[in-house]
Amino acid sequence: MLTTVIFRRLLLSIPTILGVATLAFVLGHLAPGDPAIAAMGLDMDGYTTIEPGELERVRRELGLDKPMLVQYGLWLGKALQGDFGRSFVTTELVAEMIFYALPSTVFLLLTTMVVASIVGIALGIISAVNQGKTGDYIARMIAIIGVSTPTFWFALVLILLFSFAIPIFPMNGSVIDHGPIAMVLPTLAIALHPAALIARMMRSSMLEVLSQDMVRTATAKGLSRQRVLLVHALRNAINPVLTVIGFQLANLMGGAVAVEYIFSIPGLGSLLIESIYEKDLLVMQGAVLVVGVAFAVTNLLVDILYLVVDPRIRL
Amino acid sequence: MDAMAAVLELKNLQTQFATRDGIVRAVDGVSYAVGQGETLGVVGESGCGKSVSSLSILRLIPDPPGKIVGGSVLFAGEDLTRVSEERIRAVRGNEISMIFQEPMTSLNPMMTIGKQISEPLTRHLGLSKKQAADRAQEMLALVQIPDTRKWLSGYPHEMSGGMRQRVMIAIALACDPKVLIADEPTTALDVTIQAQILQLIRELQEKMGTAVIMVTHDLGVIAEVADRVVVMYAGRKIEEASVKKLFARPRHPYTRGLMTAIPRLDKITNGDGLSKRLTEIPGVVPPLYDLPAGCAFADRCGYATDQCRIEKPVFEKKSPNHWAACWQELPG
Repeated sequence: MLTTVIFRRLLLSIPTILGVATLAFVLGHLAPGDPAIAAMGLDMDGYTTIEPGELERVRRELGLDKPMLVQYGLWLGKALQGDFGRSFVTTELVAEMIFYALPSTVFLLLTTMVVASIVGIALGIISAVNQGKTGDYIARMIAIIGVSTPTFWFALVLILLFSFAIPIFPMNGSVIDHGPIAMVLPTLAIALHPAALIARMMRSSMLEVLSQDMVRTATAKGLSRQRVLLVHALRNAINPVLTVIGFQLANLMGGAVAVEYIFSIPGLGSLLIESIYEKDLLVMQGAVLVVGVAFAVTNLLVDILYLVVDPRIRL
Repeated sequence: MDAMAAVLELKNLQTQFATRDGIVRAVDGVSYAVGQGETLGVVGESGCGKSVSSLSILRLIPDPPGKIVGGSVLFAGEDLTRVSEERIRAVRGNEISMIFQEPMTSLNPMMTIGKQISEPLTRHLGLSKKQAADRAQEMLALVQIPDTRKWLSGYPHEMSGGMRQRVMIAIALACDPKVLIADEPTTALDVTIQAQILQLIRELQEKMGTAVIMVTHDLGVIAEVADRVVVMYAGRKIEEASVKKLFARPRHPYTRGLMTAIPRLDKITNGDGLSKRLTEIPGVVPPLYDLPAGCAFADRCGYATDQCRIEKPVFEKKSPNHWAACWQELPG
């Protein structure tokens, strides 16, 4: 029963992923600059020094001379098989570059999301249970600060405080160089915003559930306060929070790009930024496609999670 | 309540709510008691304090804004308004349990029926999961739900309102409580189901010897199930009698008004074929944060005198097993 639903939902995500691929291709070609010139190791100022035939030859070699639709078909056909081509700049396989960059990013995002979820849900519950009291005000204050602090700025403040002024953590966020301790500051930097959003959603959802008759029934059964809150109320309040967690996990990619760059983490974000600087078309397209697919998969996982949590939802 | 030993007794209970308009005296010095195997009906219109008084017994009033400020709830030699949180939790769902008005929203939609019935069993009686599940299945059979095996793993949204109220009753009676408080248990159900649920409560009460406090606004329900009746108005008890005496000769003008307000099929026409207007009690309940000095019903009462408006009536015996709070002697 559940598996059929999941299978149907999987089929539905195929058009989404095709759409993402198309968008990745179009975006790559809309980006300013000429990939062929970049591939020759020149910037736009060097354009005048190129022999006229030379540029045509490079374009032909890279397949950039073909009509746009043909280029799209060729790229998509290969990309769907996992072949993203070779980097114009380094001639490495794009798939390999992404493969090596991916673990750092996935690890960073997952730790961040776990931290953000735990902190956010806890803050939200504390807030709701102590509505109108000191605990609520403190938790809400933290949430407001969290929502309004820009990720890149918070990352810089963290570096300034905890690796410069008080050198506890390394400035460079590479796990290979420093071990897991290097992940602490980047994780905190990206986790603040989603934690705050999760806390807010948790608070309002929990408050709504706490006023329901069902909670009174649970109390009237003689259950402990913890059981009423954490078993009965939380399970009913968690759905909107799951949505926020899913969206945030996807949105985090944006924050991660900046933070990876600030902490010099060799992840997908850094790869994407470099490829944009260098007009490395295929790397850019490949990275965007992977991020897009990750987005779609995350949403799929959240939908499946709904099914597991709420017996009333059967799509 | 004279002769019978009370299982549960409210004495001069006062529950108040802090609101913007001031202190709302929702329950203002109410006393009533219920004996073993007895059904006490508590009746009155919306906002008269009948539900609040029943919720106060198990301290289920949301605090803030609500608070029990005085009086006592005596149960097995203890005052439930003063016992520890831990003790009141051990009483809830175990020695005293409660069913509510809204079966549609009173169950947890995310939890199986079986699990919801098992919870008080594992919590209070220390049964294992397996034992609790077996007992839950027995309880489902007891409240006459068919196909008990299937429903153990079913969810509330798969059930009708009547079935859900049966499940609520199963949960409430699982630990074989001494007192069952039913707060408008049939109000949200349609009429045929109402009769079934009342019948079920009565049968189980006879079987288990439970004392029942039936809180309702429906005098029909009272006539059906109650042995004794307490009538409440504006947070106070205004009349108490055996159900027979109350219906035979209500001593308080408010109770009298309630009874004449019940539409009767044989009296809806004037005899000339034209339909009569439904009878009503004129006026509205005074706001509970601003009660008059005298009788709270005086402004709506056809019998009221100056004394009624100045002095609060004493709750006194009018005849054997019949008390009322009224200065006037109503014609019979």
